[in-house]
Amino acid sequence: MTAEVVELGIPARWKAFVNRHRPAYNEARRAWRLLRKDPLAVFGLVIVVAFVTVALLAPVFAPYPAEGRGQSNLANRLLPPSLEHPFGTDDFGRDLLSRIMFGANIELQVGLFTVFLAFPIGVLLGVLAGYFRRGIGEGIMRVTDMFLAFPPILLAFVIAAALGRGTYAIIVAMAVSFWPWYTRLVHAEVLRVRSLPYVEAAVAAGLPHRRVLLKHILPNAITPATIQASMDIGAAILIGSALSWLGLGPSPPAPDWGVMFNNAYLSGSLITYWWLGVFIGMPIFLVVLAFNLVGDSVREILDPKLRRRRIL
Amino acid sequence: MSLNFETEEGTAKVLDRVSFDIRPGEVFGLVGETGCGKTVTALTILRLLPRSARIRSGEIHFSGENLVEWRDEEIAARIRGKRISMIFQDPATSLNPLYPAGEQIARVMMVHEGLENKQAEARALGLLRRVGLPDPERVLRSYPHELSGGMQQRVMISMALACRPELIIADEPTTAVDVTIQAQILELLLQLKREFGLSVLLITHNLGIVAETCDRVGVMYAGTVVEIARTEDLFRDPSHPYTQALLRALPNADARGQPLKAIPGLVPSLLEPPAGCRYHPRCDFAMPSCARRRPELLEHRTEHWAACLLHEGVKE
Amino acid sequence: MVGARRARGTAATAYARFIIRRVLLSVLVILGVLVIVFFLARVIPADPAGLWAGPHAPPEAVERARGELHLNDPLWTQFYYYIEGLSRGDLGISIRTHDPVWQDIVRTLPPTLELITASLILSILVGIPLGVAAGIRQGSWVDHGMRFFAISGVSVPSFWLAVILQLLFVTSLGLLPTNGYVSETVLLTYPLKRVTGSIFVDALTQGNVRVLADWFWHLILPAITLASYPVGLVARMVRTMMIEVLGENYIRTAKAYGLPARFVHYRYALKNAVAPAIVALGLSFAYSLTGAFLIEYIFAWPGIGQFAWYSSITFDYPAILGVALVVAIFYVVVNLAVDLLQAFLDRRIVLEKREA
Repeated sequence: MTAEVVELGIPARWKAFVNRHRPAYNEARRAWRLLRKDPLAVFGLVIVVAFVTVALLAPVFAPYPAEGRGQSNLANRLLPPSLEHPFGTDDFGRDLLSRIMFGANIELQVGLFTVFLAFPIGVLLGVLAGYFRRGIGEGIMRVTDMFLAFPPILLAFVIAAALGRGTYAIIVAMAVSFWPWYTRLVHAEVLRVRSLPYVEAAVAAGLPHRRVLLKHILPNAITPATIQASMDIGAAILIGSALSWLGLGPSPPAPDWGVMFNNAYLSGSLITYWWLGVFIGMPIFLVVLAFNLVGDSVREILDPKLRRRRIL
Repeated sequence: MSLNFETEEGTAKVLDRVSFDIRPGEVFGLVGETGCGKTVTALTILRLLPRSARIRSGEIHFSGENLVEWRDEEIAARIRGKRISMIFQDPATSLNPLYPAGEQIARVMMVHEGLENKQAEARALGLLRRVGLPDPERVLRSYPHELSGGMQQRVMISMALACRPELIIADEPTTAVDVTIQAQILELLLQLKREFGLSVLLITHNLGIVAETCDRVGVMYAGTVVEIARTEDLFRDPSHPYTQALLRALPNADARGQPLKAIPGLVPSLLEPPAGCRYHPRCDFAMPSCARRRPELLEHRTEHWAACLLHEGVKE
Repeated sequence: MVGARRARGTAATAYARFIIRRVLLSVLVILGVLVIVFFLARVIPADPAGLWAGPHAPPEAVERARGELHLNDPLWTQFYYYIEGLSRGDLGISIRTHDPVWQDIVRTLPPTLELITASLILSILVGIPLGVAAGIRQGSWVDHGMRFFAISGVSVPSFWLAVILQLLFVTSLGLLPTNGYVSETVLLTYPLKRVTGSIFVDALTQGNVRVLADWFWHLILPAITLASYPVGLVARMVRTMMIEVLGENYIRTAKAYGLPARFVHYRYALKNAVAPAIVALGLSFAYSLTGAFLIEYIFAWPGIGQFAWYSSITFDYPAILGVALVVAIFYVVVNLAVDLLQAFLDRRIVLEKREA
């Protein structure tokens, strides 16, 4: 059976894959349909798509790409918003809109890499903790609790401070703060799933641990963590920009949004040059908002208890 | 009474011209498979359906009034819990876990009859005693999760009786309860019916219960009523093919070793119900007309209705 | 499902066991936090002895400082000294202020408490009604609007919100002061005896209305900024719980018995929905302590957040540790209180939590 599938082309392989996972596929289709109907989710999705596009294609979209990368234009210092410079210029005369567009790339990296780092670690630990409850499990959960007892921003701050400045320091620091959340979520789900009859059946049938974990427990336990992860991309951008604002981000002239805000703030002139404050922070807000909106809507759709009230 | 639900996938024709009547002092059983619309019918009477439900047509006559025309607040204030009460299937989840049982019963009386706290509690105590609970004071103060299933169900019954309703709707009152308790609950219901002079609409999928407790029975299939008769008549001489198939499908201790006679096919989807008679795809006696015309519920014998073209004399 | 009778005594012992276990766990967590912070702080490259002695100190003074601060000893020994000091209630001397750390903390804690309490009150008063209203009308535009508002609250960067609010209320409308705790001129005109560290308490007890009003005026912007996150969190949590509860069977029963809608929603449903919301409230209360750090810096509010900020940039180890300890204890106490409150509200939790 497998051999036949391999010989067929990609479309057929996709069909076979879908057929094997038909219930999940239908669920996903349904979720997408409902998602489209939610105005908040649509709004969020649009912004996310715009964000990613700009992040990847900033040189194409930015009106002043060189300035976006860091080239100063001191003749144009601190101009208020106008037609040539919709967001005004910063204190080096650089077009703010271009700077922000180039900054999107950094923020996207921050968001994605943090989650890509924290998610596997957290999920792995969570699965282990939930499966091997005594011994390893207890140990993992105690450590997790200890990390969780610490507010993430603080923890990230301390770690980042220890590691020095830079985007990657922030990413690592946040990843270290974020992983316990996934562990806890996955752990709870694994506990729930492992008592389901079909898992007991698999164990009773003598399947090796690894197989049971991978094929039976993991797919079902991972959903809440996945949703959390999608929202955490936004959270990472938020906390990352806060950390940058505190001085831990990349050095200028890197167009990191938090650093830019910090510069503007420290120059003390945010009252007079109001466009700096407003327009640098706005994209942070919008992007985080967008990720959260989408994640929240997805979570609501997938949660059976939150579906529209039925009878019985 | 015809009722539609607007669902995600489309309009589900959940009830199609359901019609029956309940006489004073009688126990009317409503039987059918899961999903045939029995509970929906009951909820429609009390207007307890979600906003996606739309009554397409029909009337509900109660003591000379047509309830369909009433507004929600009127139904809430004057009918629910006061003149028609409902007992639900799963008493464990149907009682509020954060309030003591006694208070929940008393609340009904305080709302509908304007009683004071103390008065209502006293009457609640009396009701608990009346439904056969051995230690009513303790039950009064207990939280639902501290009580056994049978006790919880009796608490629900007390709540139902609180304002002396004329009709009690019992939705599968015994399904969530042990077999031994089942008999007690049913016996209790019959006793109370006699004592309070009320009518009971008993919804169940269990024909055995129907045989023991009901005066008359209505059989539902896929959102339609297919047969109504006195209990003895129904069991002795069922008129509708579906009823006949149901009775045949009951396991028979005498026919040990022989295969069970299930009804072939599946219950139809309510989004796209079969044209004409909803049962015809699975019916042994189906004729071409059955797919074209929906049979009316007709009284083809005294006190015995059936919705089948066979009884209209149609031959093909 | 527990159906049989339980004597009063067993319920109480289950309760007691529950409490004891939670307390022990909390102590463990605090210890763990201390260890982590301690070693983390040592990793940061800086020379505390140099800072202690001051920028112009001769090398011998620095060496002496090094000895005093036990910096030449192995890390474990330092940790031991620290714990030993703790047991005596000695948190060390702040390198920056040269005052005992506990004194600094006691001085700066009250303003922070004022701030986070104000934020807590806001989140209750605003978050809960919003969540209830949205939960009842799921799918309507009220629901969408509230969700948007709540998620915005959770998503907005506090430093940006602070600036926006300042621009709006200070510059454009001229309504509120930019920052600070209480205006000096007001204090001069209406002198206040500083007894506790808290202007609120002092002004209230001494009947100094002018100072109280001025304090309040200064409190508004930071409190709103701080409250944005908890309000969003609580509103969403309450909404979710309301929706869940409203789908439960016992709500259907209540409706089936003709109980009026207002009663069903605001008494029956809310009581069931509120327990997890309390958890969210408690956790967001604990979180607001961290948020306070940033906000105190921006608004020049003289609380423990500002103190921590200055301590961190000057690598003031004892102070940092002291703050970490306070924060950890605060967190743990709040978590504990939330757990206990939850168990009190819903006795079933006590039984369910048997397995950790």
